[in-house]
Amino acid sequence: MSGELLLAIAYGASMIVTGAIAYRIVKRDYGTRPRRDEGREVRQPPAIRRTPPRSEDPSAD
Amino acid sequence: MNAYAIGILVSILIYLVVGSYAGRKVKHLDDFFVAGRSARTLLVVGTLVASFLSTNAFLGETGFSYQGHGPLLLILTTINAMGYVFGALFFGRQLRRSEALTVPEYFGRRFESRGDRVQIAAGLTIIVGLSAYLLAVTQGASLIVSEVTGISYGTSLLIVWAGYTSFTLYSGSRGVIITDTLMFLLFTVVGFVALYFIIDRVGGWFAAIESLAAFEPKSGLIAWHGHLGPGSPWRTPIEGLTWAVIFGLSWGLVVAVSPWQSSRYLMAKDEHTVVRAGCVAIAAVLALYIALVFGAAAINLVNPGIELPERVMIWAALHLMPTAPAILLMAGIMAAALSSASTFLSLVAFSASHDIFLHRAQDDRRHLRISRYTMFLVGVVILALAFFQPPAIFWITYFAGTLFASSWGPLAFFSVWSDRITAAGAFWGIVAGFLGNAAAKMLSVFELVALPVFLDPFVIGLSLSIAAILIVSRMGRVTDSERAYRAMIHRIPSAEIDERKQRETLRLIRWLIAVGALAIALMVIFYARPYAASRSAPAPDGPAREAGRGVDER
Repeated sequence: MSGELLLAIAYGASMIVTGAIAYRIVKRDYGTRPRRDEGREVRQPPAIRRTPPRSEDPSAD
Repeated sequence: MNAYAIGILVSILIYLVVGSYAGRKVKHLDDFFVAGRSARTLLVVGTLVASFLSTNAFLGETGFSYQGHGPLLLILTTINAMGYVFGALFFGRQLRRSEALTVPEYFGRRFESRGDRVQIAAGLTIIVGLSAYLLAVTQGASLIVSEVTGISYGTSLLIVWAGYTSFTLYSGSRGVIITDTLMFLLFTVVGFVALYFIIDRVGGWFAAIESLAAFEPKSGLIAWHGHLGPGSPWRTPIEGLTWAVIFGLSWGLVVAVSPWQSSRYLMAKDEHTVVRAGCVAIAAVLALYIALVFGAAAINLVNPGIELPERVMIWAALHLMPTAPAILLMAGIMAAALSSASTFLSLVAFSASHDIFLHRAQDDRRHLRISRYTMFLVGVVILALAFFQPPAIFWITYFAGTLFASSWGPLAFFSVWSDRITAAGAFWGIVAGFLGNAAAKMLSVFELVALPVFLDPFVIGLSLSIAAILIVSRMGRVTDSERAYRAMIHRIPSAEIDERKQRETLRLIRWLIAVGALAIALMVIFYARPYAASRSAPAPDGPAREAGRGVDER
């Protein structure tokens, strides 16, 4: 593989790689589904909050 | 007065009008310092890229590409531009949550230091480093105006200085982000317009690649390692690559955390805007550099003997382009200079008034007034220095550019991602990084020490900064309020948890990934394959060569 071909690939790959990392982080941090790790002010939107907690849901078992 | 002078003056007048319009909305300190924290994606992208690219990109780096080092510049830029996304994700979002007015204020709040010394140290680095940068940009822009219009250097200096100082003074960041965006759009468009005319003049794209691949006076002109050997700073491809990677990393840190880049995130409307702006900025910078690098390299096919390489784009405007696009190119180069100058002036003044002298609580209106007086005073000092000091544009840019990468880079990321850093560690990290880089550069510039490629002053400053932060922090204790503040900047505000905003941000990121894939395909089709084919074919005698012969007839 020539150096010019590698340069061509690296040039576009920089956008693909940074895009993939950004995608993962935005999906993780700004979604409405609750996260198990670090806390944040709002974990669930009102619609989900209306669902009874798993322990109170008779169909959970 | 010639057409170029009129074009440049009209463009400055437009910025003045736009700046005065934006200035009418400046009522509070937030408006002046951080544009009311209401900037949308295009404005943040515009100000990020326009602040980053100055005359150095349009004059220094095009000259560098003309000399045969364009591909190394592309490698450097590929690494450096990734700093936009990493900076937005791992520093910009958390910085924005601090709701500080300046980046040094964020450091000051994050580290509870005696006499606010962390904030003051960071503010001082801005005043020293960015004043030098502002001086270089002012002198560069004045030299262009003087050369193109025939007006004396002193008068050109006054026009340029009055141009950027007046709208920055009146409108602060509110005006700067709008004028920056106009300037960004202008120089991005003219970058591609210039490429079109240059390539057209040498017989089209594939003919140009074929001729450049076989260009004997500067062999390797568009090979991945560029021109090596006599007249080149590097003897081997590996030496060139090492240089490009080190400078790519160093400028990547500049893009991620430097005051004139990360402070733009303080102006963003929300965190989604921060992420989106980082994603658009990487694509915009990479696209523009393709135009600049290949355009400047192709000028060799018309005239390989331009004595001052950094004037190559001005030469192209005057000799290869029709008058109207040439005027636009001149105005675009001027825009690159003015946009950086206005940002640097505002940041130096903000740091002087907010981080050094007035960081205690002040009345909002009084603070705003004092900030404007400080800005005017800073402007006058820069004008005097630019008038009496001989221009040393590229030396100063080289000196000032990466100072922030080594003095702020480690601290910025540690401040977010480590809870073991103390205020003393932060303070000594800034000092060691700044002085280490500056001292090594002095020794190198005055040829007292010959540093190997891998031991660039940036690497020395960065290593000293990391060592100082870690060693000094081990000797102290992190306070509870510092831990609490770090926890605060990790909490995602409730307003940011929004499915619609997230969907839009993810759509834009998918667009970035698609652009990356398209870029690979285009680079292979338009660069790697025709280059490889030309290298394996006999030397060409095509239209590009004929175009080259015709240049002296103009």
